[in-house]
Amino acid sequence: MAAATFQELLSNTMFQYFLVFVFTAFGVVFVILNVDVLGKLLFRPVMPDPLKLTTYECGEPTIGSSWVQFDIRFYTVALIFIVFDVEVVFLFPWAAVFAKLGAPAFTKVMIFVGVLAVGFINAWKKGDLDWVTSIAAHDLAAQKDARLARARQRALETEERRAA
Amino acid sequence: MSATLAAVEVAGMPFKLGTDAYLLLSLLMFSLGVGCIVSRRNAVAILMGVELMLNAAAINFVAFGAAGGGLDGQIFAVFIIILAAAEAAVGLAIILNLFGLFKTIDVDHPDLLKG
Amino acid sequence: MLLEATEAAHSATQAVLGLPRGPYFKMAEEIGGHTLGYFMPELIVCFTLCLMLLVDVSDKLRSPRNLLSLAFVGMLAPLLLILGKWGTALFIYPDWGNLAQAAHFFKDHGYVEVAGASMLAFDGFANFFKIFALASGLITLAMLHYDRSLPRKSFGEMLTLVLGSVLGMMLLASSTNLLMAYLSIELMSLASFVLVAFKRSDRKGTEGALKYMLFGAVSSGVMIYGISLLYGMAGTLDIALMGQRLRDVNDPLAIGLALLMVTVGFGYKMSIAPAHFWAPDAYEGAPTPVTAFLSVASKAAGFAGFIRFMDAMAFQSTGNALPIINWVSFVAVLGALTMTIGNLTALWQRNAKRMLAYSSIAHAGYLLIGVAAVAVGGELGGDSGRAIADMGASATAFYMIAYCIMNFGAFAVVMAVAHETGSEEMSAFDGLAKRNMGLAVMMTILLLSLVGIPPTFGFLGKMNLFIAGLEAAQAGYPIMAVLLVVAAVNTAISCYYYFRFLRAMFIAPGEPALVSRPLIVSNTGWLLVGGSALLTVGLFLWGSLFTAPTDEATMLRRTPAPAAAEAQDASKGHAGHGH
Repeated sequence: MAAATFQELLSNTMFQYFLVFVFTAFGVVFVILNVDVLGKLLFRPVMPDPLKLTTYECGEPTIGSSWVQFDIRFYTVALIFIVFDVEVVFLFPWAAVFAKLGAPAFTKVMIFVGVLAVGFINAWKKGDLDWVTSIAAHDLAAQKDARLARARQRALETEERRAA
Repeated sequence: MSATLAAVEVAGMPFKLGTDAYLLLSLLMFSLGVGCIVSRRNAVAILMGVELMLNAAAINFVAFGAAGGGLDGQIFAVFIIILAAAEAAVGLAIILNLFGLFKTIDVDHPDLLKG
Repeated sequence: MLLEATEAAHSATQAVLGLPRGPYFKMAEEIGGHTLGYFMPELIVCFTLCLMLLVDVSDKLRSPRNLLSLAFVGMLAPLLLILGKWGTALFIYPDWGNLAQAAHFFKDHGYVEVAGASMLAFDGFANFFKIFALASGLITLAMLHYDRSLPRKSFGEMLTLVLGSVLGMMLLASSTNLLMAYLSIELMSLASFVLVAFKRSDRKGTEGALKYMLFGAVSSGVMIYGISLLYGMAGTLDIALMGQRLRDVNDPLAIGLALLMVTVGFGYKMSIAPAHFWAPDAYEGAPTPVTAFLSVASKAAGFAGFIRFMDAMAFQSTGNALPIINWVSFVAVLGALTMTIGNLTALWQRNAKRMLAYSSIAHAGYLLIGVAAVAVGGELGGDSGRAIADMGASATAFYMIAYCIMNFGAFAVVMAVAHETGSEEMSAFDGLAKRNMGLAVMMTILLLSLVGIPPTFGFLGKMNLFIAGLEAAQAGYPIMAVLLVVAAVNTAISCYYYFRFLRAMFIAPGEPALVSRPLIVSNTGWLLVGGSALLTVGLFLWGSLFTAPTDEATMLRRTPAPAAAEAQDASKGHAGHGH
């Protein structure tokens, strides 16, 4: 058995059990032990010192924290992009065989794209895709909200006063 | 693709030769994902660990599908890709909001809810 | 939408690989015909969801009233459709109390399995949980309407998410295929993560959502890895067929582990013991209507998925004693653990919502008694086994109805109090009886029901669970008897913290300035609180007065779907001589 190949090792029953053992170990670790304690002791001891906590920047004295806050619009657009971008996965297999399948497949994929379009229209109309006006729109909406809340509060107070 | 897989029984399971290699790869990825989740306190890093776990499962599905499970496996893999993206989008949106409110994405830090 | 996508992906991939037009195509052709009718309720919810997204961006149409009406119709119509199609028996045999023993509520129309390439079953079990999800959704709408603290501007988004979540629950109840089950779980989870985080400026809500989301993502990762292993061993994703195939796989350790991993995913949705940590945080942080929705509907859907899965898998252990998972003891131990942890932790909570969250964990534990009875039935096999399994499943379903009513009611009371005092702490209940006697009395009824004390529906529900558990214990499973004893002790413990509400409401003096001021409850509030309290008492009377002889109708489809078996054979056969 000294010259056992990798393939033989893999097909060994004991090895299969070893794999299962590794699984079990992870399962037990994950479920039973406290994630905090274990994580901090074994995997990632937290021992910060002032130098370690500084931002890494090659050769330059650092200015500020590495957590520079980007405009929130970047994130919104990125999130919308991720969601719609990935849906293309469903279209690739369809596109590859479109010629063979004809009209029925076309209708079905159009239904799928239609549902996506509804989501897209919603995001568009809500102003999540507008680069320039979105902040202004948000501010306006927030002001309107605040006004409404104040009005509700006033109404509530009047009602209470009347009740009292 | 299944043409490259010779039909050999492994430990009485309906595996074929070659599947185990993928299984090992996915096992490694899954373990790394779990390790990442257990050790990191950064919410984004935890999401990355989850992505590793999901992709490990996707590898399993494709490998098992090619080894004789039919097309279900590959279809499942496609769905995993979509779900991973959806989960990441929702997760990142929540984390973004968390950062706005707490100025941190360390999962230990927000502790208003206790008991 | 999912169905269409699945089907398109199926057919396209098949064509890419040069496979013949398989059963998926046949299914697709059938969909245009009579089978579409079965899928109609889901289609209506799906259509309403899309419509909601469009209406929400129209400046003319998007008043909260319009959006609410749209969501209301979109959930009421499928509810009536299911009731009309499958529930005619309800009006012929008005025996709610007996629903626990005979599911002949649905008997005449059980086991229809069509559409979705055998991914969905339309049996009585599925219909029950669909009705349940839709009804909880409707009650949630009323609660959303009642909650004044929610941002009215984004009402449309909120309702869309509720609809999406309900759609996921409906699909999960029907899923006989792990792909479909997984997709449905994700659909309802993703929607509920956002619902919890809905108040964007609320720090508690965001923190709860973060924990909910991280736990959810991890458990779904673990679950899908388990599914992939099961798929590798069984070569199919159809749950029933998988159960049968696994009997021939001689690797108990691997099977046990894979089943355990899938159970983690379901356990997370049910919020049972080792996977419950997210629940109190998410429940406390979320807006109260969302809390009620999650603690009732989401949990019920998790149970539906788990019962279906476990029924198929427990079935396989008849031929092959599994050293790793003995479902009966496994579920029984989880149940005992869950109810004990839930009740003991609830004892020292100061926040009313958090206390109800722990109480909902404890109730998940009680529900597991029924699930354990299903497991016993699955292991016994045969007619007697089937009878016990059905008893377990319907006792679980029955308790869920009770739990739904009393939990929504209790959360509505918390909302009514929070509206006036601005606090969800226990101290806000001090002297409630002096401020609003009616509300205090209603809350008392709901609390009695939560404990399980006679003049309430909760008592009937708990009694049915205990009967199912006793039946299972008598079939030679002493662990069930142990579980019942633990449940009884737990019920006694739970009295203590439920009665803390009573003490606060009736005995505690409260702040004089507050107590002198009456607590005003709006009409919607009265509808919610009074409706649930009256139902709790009314259904108890109804259930105890009208009982009919038992009937051994079955709820769960156990045989593999013919289409799945056929598809499997087709693809196997093809791969066999194709390469």
